[in-house]
Amino acid sequence: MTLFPPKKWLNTPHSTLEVDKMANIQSLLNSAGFDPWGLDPDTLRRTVTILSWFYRHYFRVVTHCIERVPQGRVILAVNHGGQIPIDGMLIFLALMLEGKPPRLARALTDRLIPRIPFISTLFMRCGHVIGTPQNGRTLLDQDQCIFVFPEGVRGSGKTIFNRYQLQKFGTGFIRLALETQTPIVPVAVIGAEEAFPAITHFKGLAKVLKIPYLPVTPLFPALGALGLMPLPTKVTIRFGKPIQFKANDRCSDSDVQKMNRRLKMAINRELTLGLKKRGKAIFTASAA
Amino acid sequence: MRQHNQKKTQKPLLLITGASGRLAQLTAQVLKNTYSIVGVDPRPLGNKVKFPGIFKCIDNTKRDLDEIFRRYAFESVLHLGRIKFTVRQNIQNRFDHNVKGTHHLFHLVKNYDVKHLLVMGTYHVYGAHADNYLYLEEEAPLRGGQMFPELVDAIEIDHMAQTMMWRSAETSTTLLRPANIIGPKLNNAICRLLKNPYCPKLLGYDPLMQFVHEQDMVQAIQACLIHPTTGIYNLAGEGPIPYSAAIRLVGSKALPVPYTLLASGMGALAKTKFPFSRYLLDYFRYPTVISDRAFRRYYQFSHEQTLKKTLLSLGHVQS
Repeated sequence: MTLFPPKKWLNTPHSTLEVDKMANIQSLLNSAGFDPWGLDPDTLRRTVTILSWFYRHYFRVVTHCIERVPQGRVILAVNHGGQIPIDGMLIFLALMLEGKPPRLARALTDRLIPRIPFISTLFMRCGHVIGTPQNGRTLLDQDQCIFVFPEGVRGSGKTIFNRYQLQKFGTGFIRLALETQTPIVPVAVIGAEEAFPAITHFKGLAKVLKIPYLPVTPLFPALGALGLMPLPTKVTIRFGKPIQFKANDRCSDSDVQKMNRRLKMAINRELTLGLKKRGKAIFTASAA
Repeated sequence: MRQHNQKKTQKPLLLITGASGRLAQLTAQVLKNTYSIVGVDPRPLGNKVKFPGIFKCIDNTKRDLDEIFRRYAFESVLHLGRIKFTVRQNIQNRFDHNVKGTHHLFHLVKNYDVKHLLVMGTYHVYGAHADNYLYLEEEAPLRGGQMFPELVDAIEIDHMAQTMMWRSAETSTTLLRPANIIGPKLNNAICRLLKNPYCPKLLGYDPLMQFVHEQDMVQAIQACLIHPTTGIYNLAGEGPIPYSAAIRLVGSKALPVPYTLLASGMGALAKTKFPFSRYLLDYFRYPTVISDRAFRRYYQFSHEQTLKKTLLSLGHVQS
């Protein structure tokens, strides 16, 4: 029996078709109906149905040059910010709802995720996996699309004063791309970094709770749980031109750093262009 | 005497340890036409069980096992005799039996020039950790003993088998690390758990699990014995499935219990017939998914039973 969402929601045109269209998922399902990474098409369909409302009506997402995402194996490198990974959720939905053809973008998640009850299960059922090089390699060998946040926690934990200032990038995903000869698409998400504007952090409490950070925003913790609701900023996702790095996967760290800088510049370029177009109207203007 | 026995039997001789176990009996039934089988186990055979060969009630740690090797010139040895979790044995006894017994057996295998040794390990040796990647290969570190000493004996046997590989080059030693083996004829902890009408499940966690059907397991053992090679191989079934989905397919109902409650209540539960130990809890919290690509490639092996059929074979649905 389906409790939520109601069946009539599931039958709306934009809910069922995206998941069913993704032939690369259907072909991987085993006899029990799960893919090799624990994805359950039914859970995915329900999740997309619920979240697509936020995508279309709350954040009113606009995509720019989504057709630049190539077929086959690909890594999307995305800027990170806004304390809670709304940007990840919107990238995931963008590729599914507006991808041509729709495709599943799998997040390589933080190692904290499997430790969180319920969230770990939901992430797995939607096809996301823990961010280890081995998982990334296996997924890319299967010609999957994965997305990474090269800034990691350094990016998501930024305060509002540092928004859209790219932090230090990790290098693991570059080596992964070299090893598997995968193109990297630079992606800039504009709007998500203002949705949860952290002024400062409760550093001591975060340490006690063993979480990377605990933000303080104008609404949280003042309004309690209600303060956790992100602001309805207008979000634009800009996809840059794919970059195919050509080097031996045993190249030195300094070479990888050079590639990293090139990629960072590409994301920065998209951010600058988008921010210029959007201006100060964070709730209404598009950055496309 | 040893030579005399070898001449008398046309078929090659196979020793199976842990012969009272259900998997050993299933394997013996399949191999009885290819091998002359001698089974040993400290536990007696069940009343209605007919072992297809010679059965001796012998402890692997005792000298009686030497006599078996003196009397029969074994071509192959299948080591299934590891005592798993049981409420009747404390950790020390279990460790002694498993590790000392295995050491004794391997010593005899080396001394009596057995051509092939097949050791049944377990995927538990990899350990259940939040940061485990999916599809652990055979080279992955064995972290099972990090949290609980109950798994140290399994890891020790694993290491001993690996040592045999280079120490005794004349014997081809194969080490199998299968995922959860289930089937209608088995009675191991995971089968007993899934056959319960209500299966406890950790609240908020639903890790991926792999299941191998008993028939596929027997086929894999047969393949290893027919084409002996030295190596370590994982063995998984068709693909992983979330634990809750496995419960649903078997026809049971999931009973979500908070981790802290179940972990603290394990001591009391251990005194009942509840087939579970605290050290296994993490396998129901974090995934330990193994890759059996090497085994499939080398032996051209493919499972016959699908995941769905494997779980349905437990028969709870029909009852």
